[in-house]
Amino acid sequence: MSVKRLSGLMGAALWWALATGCGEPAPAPEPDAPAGWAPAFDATDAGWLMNVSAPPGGPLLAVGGRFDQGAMHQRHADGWAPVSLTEAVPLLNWSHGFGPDDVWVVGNEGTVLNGDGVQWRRVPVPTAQDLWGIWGAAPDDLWAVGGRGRQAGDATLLHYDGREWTVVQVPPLQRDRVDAFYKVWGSAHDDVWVVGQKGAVLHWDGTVWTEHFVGISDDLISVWGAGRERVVVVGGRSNGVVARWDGQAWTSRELAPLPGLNGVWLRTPSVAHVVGIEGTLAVLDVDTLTAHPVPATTRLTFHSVFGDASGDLTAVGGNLGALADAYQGLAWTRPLGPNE
Amino acid sequence: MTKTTRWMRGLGCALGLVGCSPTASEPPVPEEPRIASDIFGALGDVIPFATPEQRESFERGRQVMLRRFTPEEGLGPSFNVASCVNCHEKPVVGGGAGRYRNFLLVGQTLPDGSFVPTGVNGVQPHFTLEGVRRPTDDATNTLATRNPIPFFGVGLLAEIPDEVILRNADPDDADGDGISGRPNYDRGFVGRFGRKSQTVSIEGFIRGPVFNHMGLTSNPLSEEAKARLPVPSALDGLPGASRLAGGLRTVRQAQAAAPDEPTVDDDGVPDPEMSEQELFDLVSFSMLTAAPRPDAPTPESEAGQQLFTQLRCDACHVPALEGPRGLIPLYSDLLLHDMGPALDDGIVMKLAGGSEFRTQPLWGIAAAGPYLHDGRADDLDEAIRLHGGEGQRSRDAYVALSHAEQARVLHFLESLGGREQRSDGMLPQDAPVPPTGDWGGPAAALNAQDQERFRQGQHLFDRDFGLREGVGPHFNGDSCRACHFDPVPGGAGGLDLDVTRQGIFVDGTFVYPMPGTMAHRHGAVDARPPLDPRSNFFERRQTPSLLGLGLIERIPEALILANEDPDDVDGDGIRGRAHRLADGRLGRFGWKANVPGVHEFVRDALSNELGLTLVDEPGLTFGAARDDDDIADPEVGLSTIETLTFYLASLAPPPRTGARPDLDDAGLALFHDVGCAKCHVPAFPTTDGRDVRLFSDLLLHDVMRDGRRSVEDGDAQVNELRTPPLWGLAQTAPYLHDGAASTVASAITLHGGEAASSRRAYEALSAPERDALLAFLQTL
Repeated sequence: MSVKRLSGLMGAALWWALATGCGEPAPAPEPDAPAGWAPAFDATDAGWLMNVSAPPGGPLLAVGGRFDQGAMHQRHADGWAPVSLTEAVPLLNWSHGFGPDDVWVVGNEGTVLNGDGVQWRRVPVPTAQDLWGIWGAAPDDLWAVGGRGRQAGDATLLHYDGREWTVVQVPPLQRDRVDAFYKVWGSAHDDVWVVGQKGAVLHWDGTVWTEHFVGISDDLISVWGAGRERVVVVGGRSNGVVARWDGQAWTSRELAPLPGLNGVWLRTPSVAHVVGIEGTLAVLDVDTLTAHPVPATTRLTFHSVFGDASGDLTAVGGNLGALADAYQGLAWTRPLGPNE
Repeated sequence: MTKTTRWMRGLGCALGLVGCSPTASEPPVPEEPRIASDIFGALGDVIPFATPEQRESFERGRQVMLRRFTPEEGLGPSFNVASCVNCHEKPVVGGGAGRYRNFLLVGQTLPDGSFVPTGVNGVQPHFTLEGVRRPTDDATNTLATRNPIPFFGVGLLAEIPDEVILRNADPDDADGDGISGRPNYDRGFVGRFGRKSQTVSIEGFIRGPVFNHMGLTSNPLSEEAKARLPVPSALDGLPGASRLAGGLRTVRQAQAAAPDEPTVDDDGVPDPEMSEQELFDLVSFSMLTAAPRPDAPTPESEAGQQLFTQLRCDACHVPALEGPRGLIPLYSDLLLHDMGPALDDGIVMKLAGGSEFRTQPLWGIAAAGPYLHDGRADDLDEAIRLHGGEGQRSRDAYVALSHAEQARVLHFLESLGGREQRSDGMLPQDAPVPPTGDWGGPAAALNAQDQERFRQGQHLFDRDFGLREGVGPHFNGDSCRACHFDPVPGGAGGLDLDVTRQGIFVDGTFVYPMPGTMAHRHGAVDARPPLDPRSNFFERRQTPSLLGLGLIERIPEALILANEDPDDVDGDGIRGRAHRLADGRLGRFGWKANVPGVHEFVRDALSNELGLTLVDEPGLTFGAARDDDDIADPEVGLSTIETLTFYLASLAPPPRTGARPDLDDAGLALFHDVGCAKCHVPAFPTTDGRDVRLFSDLLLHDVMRDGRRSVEDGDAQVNELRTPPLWGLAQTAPYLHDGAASTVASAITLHGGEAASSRRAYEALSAPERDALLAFLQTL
């Protein structure tokens, strides 16, 4: 047994003693990380962590918070620290950056923030829908997607041209009642993918949005890729589902018993990192669409995974979906392998 | 699929719970799992091992099951039923239901073969609060009929470890026996509930239908509440939660895998509409229902069991799975099996494809009909014969048996619980005739012969008619009791059993749709009855009580006509017009007074509500002689019609309840003062001198509020409704023809037209006066 592992067990024993013996309310404990993973920081009180990413040349940024108060945490040389926000914002959901001085964050209720490395300012957008994803090919060519997912017309596509955000008409879809888009990712300005409710997949070729059918009707939560000919979409809510685009066609697969997936990240064509509900952390062989999960040590939900330039893979999440005031965050990390 | 047949050995002994212990002289044998103790009960009983606290929660949960939700309490905006028990009533709370409670799953099958649920999370609601039949979504191209499923003993199934279920899985049929079986999964756990094993969590399996079928929103149970449930259902990290070896706090309990998001709607009632306590008690109730107690083995059932094994039925209907309390004799592997193209419903649920279904547990099966996922089988014999796919070989072997051998198989199946509680409808097999004058009893004392005839009529009224007897092709109920049950057979019906009428308005003029104004709720399997595409008007119609019809029939026509004042000659604002049918008969029954007598009412209901064709009877005009189902016409003979007619004509009127003689005079005086009695005439005498205190003039009046309209019916115009009798009012909520009022007070304030002045007079009463009037009405 490693020292680290022993330490974890002692921590658990201490928690147990505190929880059962002292008569005082015990804070929700941070679960033990599985072998190879370690806490990135103590995120127990950080609220939900919805996304982790880093702009080129910039530090890791985790965004999330509570429904009524968004929050961000940034990794510095000496560790993670909360980011000071000058105004109240609701829950923050995703981020995308072009550099340390140009980072975008989207959140609930039509929240869009832009950070210039010094401060964060709120940018007006013509929607009050919750925004779940953002990606851009260039500082003057960004897409943001969202939708509350309840009523026809909720699904939202926004575009930023360097001056302002505008609503882009959602193209007619053959798929019934897609009321939310969850993520957007692209390899170039004319190769942008959007995923959403009920297995919706849309592609932007620089001119028009086209609906794709990937053989999945469960919600698709996230999309990432490694070029035009290697795109991976994941989702499933209950059971994990995945589909791969090879430049010509889609191949999909049910991953059950792997639970539903929320996040995907890859930098090489054959290996993707996926995270999801029920504490799911897994490596996906993109060629075979085979998942290799890490034995779960928590029932909490991971929502995002990202590998940064320093060689760390970080997964974040929390007790997402739980009602209550007891928001709990989770941030674990491990080194990326050479072929990952 | 031989891995589990070892559980067969000794199972018969164990189920009998006698005579199987090795004697002291026998050599010791490795201990095999035994049937779990303290798990059996009659259907609907609490599981014997429940603690006193759990028994209290069970009873509270049972009450929640019975609770009928109103729109003001969150029902809607779309719904199929108003209470949980509506679908889980037969033979007792927690069971299944007849075909009249069938519902439709709906979805969109896309070009890539994927399946997107439409409707409300894949369920097609029939009703909307606005009274419009909720349309089928344009994108829906796949519909599948479902019959409600019993949930006795589900807490025991929840405890079965995933690994135990997976032992029987053979997805690639590696052993070559033609039986594969694969698990469905839910959030990483082996699914076990639902027709396609699509759900693992009992909480999830309750919150889903409560929202999809009733429109009731709820929040997921808190971790603290989950920790108190009878089956471990809390997430990790809770004080008191068990700990895995190695010190990890994670406890992967399948029951914790419930959907963790609140459900919300926009009906104007604050969410959540179901409280956490109610949800907790519902989940507890489900988890604590006893396993159906099997009958003691008999030579006949043992012979049937041997045949069951020989036929290889046990390859899927695995006799028992091992849970933490011992063997659980559910007769299912809880796995998915391909049941062949004839049963393919096109519905994809997680990993389950259209032709794949969970092996239905057989415990309690005797009382669970109709059978199969869509209730297409009237009885067990037919259900076996409809097995296809992986079940084809066993089915063929069954069909090849002699009749006597088939009977033994059926006898064995029926021995697995529920036989004594089986009912042809909802009443117990030996239901007595209620006392004379009581709810559901005869109006007058009957001689022995008529008493028996009344009993037969009561049984016929309650009895579920089968598809093989001619129900359909389109129908609203499969029995008379289906709609008329409140508070006893023959009574009224709830909001969720309203009949939907359709009509066409062209420039304000009513045009009859084809083939008629009835918009049936049920049709052929996997289909919704078609509407006239021109229909642009829908109307809900409440089920009127039938209690006392025979007395109303005996009111002299002249006395009814004496109250007519179609031109308001007396200038009191109240007109009143008799509904003369085209052949000159006086209409007395129905919201439009369109039915002249009890006999015609029976014919009308059997045809229009049940879809049964009738033998012709000279002089009678109601009822259809032919339909286009596969059953030879007429489907119902004279005997059935006459017995039902006798029963209904003999039914006592609702007895007065809680009457306060000291307040009667005051209440009745207010009733007159306000003007209610002008239409709700308190009483008529019958030809033989009986006093009929029905509180109706049986005439048509315009009482529509805000210029609303209803479906025209013969001479009854779009603005006219018959004055409904008020006797039994306390037991016939909701009120008005469209059920728009949940309370009597609300019903009064929704009166319009000729009743507007009475409504205003009521509203002008002092609070004590209003209370006195309402109290009086509650006693009728």
